[in-house]
Amino acid sequence: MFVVVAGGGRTGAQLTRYLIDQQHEVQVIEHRREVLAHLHRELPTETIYEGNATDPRVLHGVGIERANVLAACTGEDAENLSLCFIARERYKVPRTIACINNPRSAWLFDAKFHVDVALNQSDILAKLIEQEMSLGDMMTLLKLRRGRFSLVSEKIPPGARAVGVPLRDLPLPKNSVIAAIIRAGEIVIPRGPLAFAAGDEVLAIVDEEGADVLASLFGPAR
Amino acid sequence: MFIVIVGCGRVGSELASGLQGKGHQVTIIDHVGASFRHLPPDYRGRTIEAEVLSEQVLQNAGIEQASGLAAVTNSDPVNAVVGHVARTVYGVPNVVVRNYDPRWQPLFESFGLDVVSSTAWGASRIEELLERPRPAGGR
Repeated sequence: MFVVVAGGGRTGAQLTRYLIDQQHEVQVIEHRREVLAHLHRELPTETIYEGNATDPRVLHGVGIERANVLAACTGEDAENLSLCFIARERYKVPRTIACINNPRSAWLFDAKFHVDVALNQSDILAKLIEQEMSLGDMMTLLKLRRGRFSLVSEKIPPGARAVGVPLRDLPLPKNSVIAAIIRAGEIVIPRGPLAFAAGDEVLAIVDEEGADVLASLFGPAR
Repeated sequence: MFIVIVGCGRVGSELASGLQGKGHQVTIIDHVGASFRHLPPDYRGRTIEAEVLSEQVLQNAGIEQASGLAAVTNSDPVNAVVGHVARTVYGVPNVVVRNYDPRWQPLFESFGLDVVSSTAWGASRIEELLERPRPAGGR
């Protein structure tokens, strides 16, 4: 895939590094001198394009018309919105992704400006923090569907409500799936008759409600 | 007419003053409160100190009732985004945006907005005046 990353700040630089590691073709556009100096220390020179991402000559220079994805990661919401709009309108870029800097402008990041996917960083972070506070020992390993679902893991303490209960009798809400159980260092496939034991590590994919239920079933007795 | 102006720099304040002089009702938004010092002392319209990309701010300014909107900040992306939203989301009948950096001019075309490029226009007009024939004896 060929990805154009607009803005080489923390997010843009990290994304570029990640895409290079995944063997994708990447160009990261940046114009701020101090940020460029940092980029040149971190990334291969041929992936860095010096210039202002909203300058049509710069967009043309990176070859935006053959990009599969535009990732708009500048620090200005208006710039990210304009970039997504222009990428689709002028250069027919098939997929656009944009970072939201200020949650108050989040309402603009959709079809209005041809934004296919919007990432609200402060919102994701705030939700993560809130969940970490309320769920005790449950660990969130991964966020799916922009934070709607989580892959969580929890080690069952002695005395938890789920100990001795077979999986099929566990009152799990819909949108929640037990993906695997790790018992004595081995992966056990979760089947109906399998009863949970203290020390089991449970991996589950849950939504917000499922996470609460899971915490009460597998968490320490209160 | 009721007009919303975004950006209270030299252009925005001049425009507010002119529109008011013709009897129009004006509301002007700027995210820096100190910018309102550009307004003439007899300005009677509303001033709103807030970030303009907020839905709440635009609605509070009365964008739904506006017959015209001018986006005249010194940021081309902000002018483009505000102009596009005014036209496509709120259906403001008359939207005019200012082009600040001449390199941005072709991008406004993608948005299909009415644009005034004062920098480009000013430069080419000055060029015209410099190139006009002078009477004999000049250099």
